[in-house]
Amino acid sequence: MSVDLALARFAMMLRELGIRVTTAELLDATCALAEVGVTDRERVRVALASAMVKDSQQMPAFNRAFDLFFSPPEVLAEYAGKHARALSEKRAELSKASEELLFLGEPVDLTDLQKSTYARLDPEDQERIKEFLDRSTHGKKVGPSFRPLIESIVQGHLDRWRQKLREEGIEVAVPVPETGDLLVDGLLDEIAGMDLDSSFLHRDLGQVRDEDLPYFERVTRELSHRLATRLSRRYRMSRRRAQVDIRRTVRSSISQGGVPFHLKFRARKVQKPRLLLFADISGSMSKYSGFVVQFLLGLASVVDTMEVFLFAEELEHVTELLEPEMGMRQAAEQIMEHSAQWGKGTNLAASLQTFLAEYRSYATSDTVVIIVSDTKTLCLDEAEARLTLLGEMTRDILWLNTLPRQEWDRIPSVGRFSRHVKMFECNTLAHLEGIVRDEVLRYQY
Amino acid sequence: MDIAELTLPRLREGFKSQSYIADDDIVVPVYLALKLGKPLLVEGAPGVGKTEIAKVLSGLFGFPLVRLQCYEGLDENKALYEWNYQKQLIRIQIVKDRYDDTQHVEDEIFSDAFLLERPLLRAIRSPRRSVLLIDEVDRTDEQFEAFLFEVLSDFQVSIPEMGTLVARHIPIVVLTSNRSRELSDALKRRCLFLFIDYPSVEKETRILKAKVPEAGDKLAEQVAAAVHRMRSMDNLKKKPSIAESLDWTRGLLAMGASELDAHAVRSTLNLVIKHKDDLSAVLEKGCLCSLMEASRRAER
Repeated sequence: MSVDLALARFAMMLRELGIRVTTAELLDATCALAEVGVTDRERVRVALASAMVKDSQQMPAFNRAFDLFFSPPEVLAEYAGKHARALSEKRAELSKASEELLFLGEPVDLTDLQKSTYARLDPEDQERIKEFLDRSTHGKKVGPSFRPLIESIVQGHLDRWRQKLREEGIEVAVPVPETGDLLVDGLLDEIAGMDLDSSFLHRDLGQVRDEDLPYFERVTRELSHRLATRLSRRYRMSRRRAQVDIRRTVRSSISQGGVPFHLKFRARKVQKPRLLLFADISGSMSKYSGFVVQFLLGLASVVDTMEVFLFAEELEHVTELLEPEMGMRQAAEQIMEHSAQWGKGTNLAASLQTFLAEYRSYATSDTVVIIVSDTKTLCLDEAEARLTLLGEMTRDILWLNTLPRQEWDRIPSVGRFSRHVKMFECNTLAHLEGIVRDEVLRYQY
Repeated sequence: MDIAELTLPRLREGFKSQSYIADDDIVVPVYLALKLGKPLLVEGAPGVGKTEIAKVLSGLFGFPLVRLQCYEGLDENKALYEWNYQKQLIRIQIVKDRYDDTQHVEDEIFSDAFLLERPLLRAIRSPRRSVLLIDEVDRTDEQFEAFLFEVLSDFQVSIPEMGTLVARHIPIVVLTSNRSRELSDALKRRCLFLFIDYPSVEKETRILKAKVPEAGDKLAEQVAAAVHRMRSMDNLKKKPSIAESLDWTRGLLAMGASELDAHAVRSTLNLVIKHKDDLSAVLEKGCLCSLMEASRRAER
């Protein structure tokens, strides 16, 4: 394999790992190799990294890809062979699910992920799903019109199973997108099973273990502090676009006999946003909400006011319990001590009803509402109607959805609420920082 | 040193001669940036030696260092050029009753004598090749970044009253970023990238010995080990940088300490730890002991 071809394949592999390598960067990498030679492995690694990776967070992925890709030929052949075998097993697994899960003699419509989940289940659990489909097929007056209902039951069941397996530490792998190159796909398979991200920024906040909490708290505080200090700095507007402040210029020119020697410019007025935070603290949501609350508390200096409401079955106003310097555990302890909602089920409709009845005055035309929730709630119709009303009363509603984006299509409430709010995927600190920086704090200007 | 004849070992030696301790992870990207004529984007925590790279290159090649310190609100007037408005005004006042030839006055007040060169223009018009350091580029806004990107692409600027000015010598460009925000892909794409992490104990010891030779082996090793231990503490609000460990070493020497002991640490710790809560955390009994233990291990 020529050096150019090897580099092109390596770039393809990096792209699959989320490292954007442009053609220009690939050319730079080729020139870099020509400069440093290919005899010293570490030197090649550094040269390629400097040309192809432009984000330190991506270094672990790059290093892992480099180690694998530049292995001896026999090792590479082994990876390619392993991938070919895995591919045929996977195909067999998916087709087995399609053959076994039938309704009225036709396969149930499932995603590859759902089929893989089915393959991971114990035989008894698989049998239970098959029995359900069998009973449904042979039920009285069952016709093709039942198909959407039956399919959604099976899909929901498999999604819940996947969640359960995940909680037990069994990760059902999302199929790695295939490039068609057996070697590259084989190496991607190897990488898919590794934990590449040492920074914690991309870890799911719902999966944070108790022993890692101090680290996460520190990172959250740092990110929040960094944003706050960056954005609270006041400065005079650029002269390029500034307006001369005639009054101040004329006043200052008096001492120079009326010659406007020193031009005075209008200072930029920083408008701080007013925030209303609704954090879902039902069951699995409480951890996510804890992080968002802590993050936003750290921004106290760059927002005008921030009112914090927690909700589960009902709504609670907790602003007074929280202080800007509080860590997540402290905030959580305060809330658990005073809140009757911690860990209950979710009823957004009832919570919004309480807000509209008792705290309506907080919702003004310059208020930005932030909702942290996975959208799963009782009384969907009422919740949607009240959300619409809240949207009309306020400037914007930003919904931080903790569900992974690939699951949104399957959850009806996501589609319903998305019509009235700006919805963002938010289950890692990296998501949270990006949303606050790019969405929440832009209301400052 | 001539860039055309530059080799990796010579550059490594050059860094050493400038008292900058660098391994291949730093020297190779710098070498490539020089050889490929690309801007070098250096990222890393504050105080790890990002800015120093530009100073080293300036010293090494004997090129003047032109520094553009970025901050929020920086605009092209302050980065590129400005007309000296006050001087123009005075000139107009002086000649207003003497000349009828207004065109002549206009030509005069929009000439070189009334132009205030800011760092970017200074680097472009420099009669010799220069090292252009664009420091903390992440502090500017996206608009300025786009403007910067334009200038760095062509190395020419248009001044309406004077026409287009093309760089006589393309400067060596070093951009630094503390990563307070993501830089645009367009800018990153055109640069070679270098990330500088905190050094290992062994490397930091070498840095301390090179920068503060009077510290001696023992103190340098102990300080490096203690600082490394502090950086590994999860509850610190601000981790100590290399610059701070250098300050600490100098502070210890000024206090007459030839090795680290609990008393010396207590009396000089504020040189390396700059936050009240962090000071309390490090001075906690258990932590201080582990600090001393780390430095003793390094000594052994």
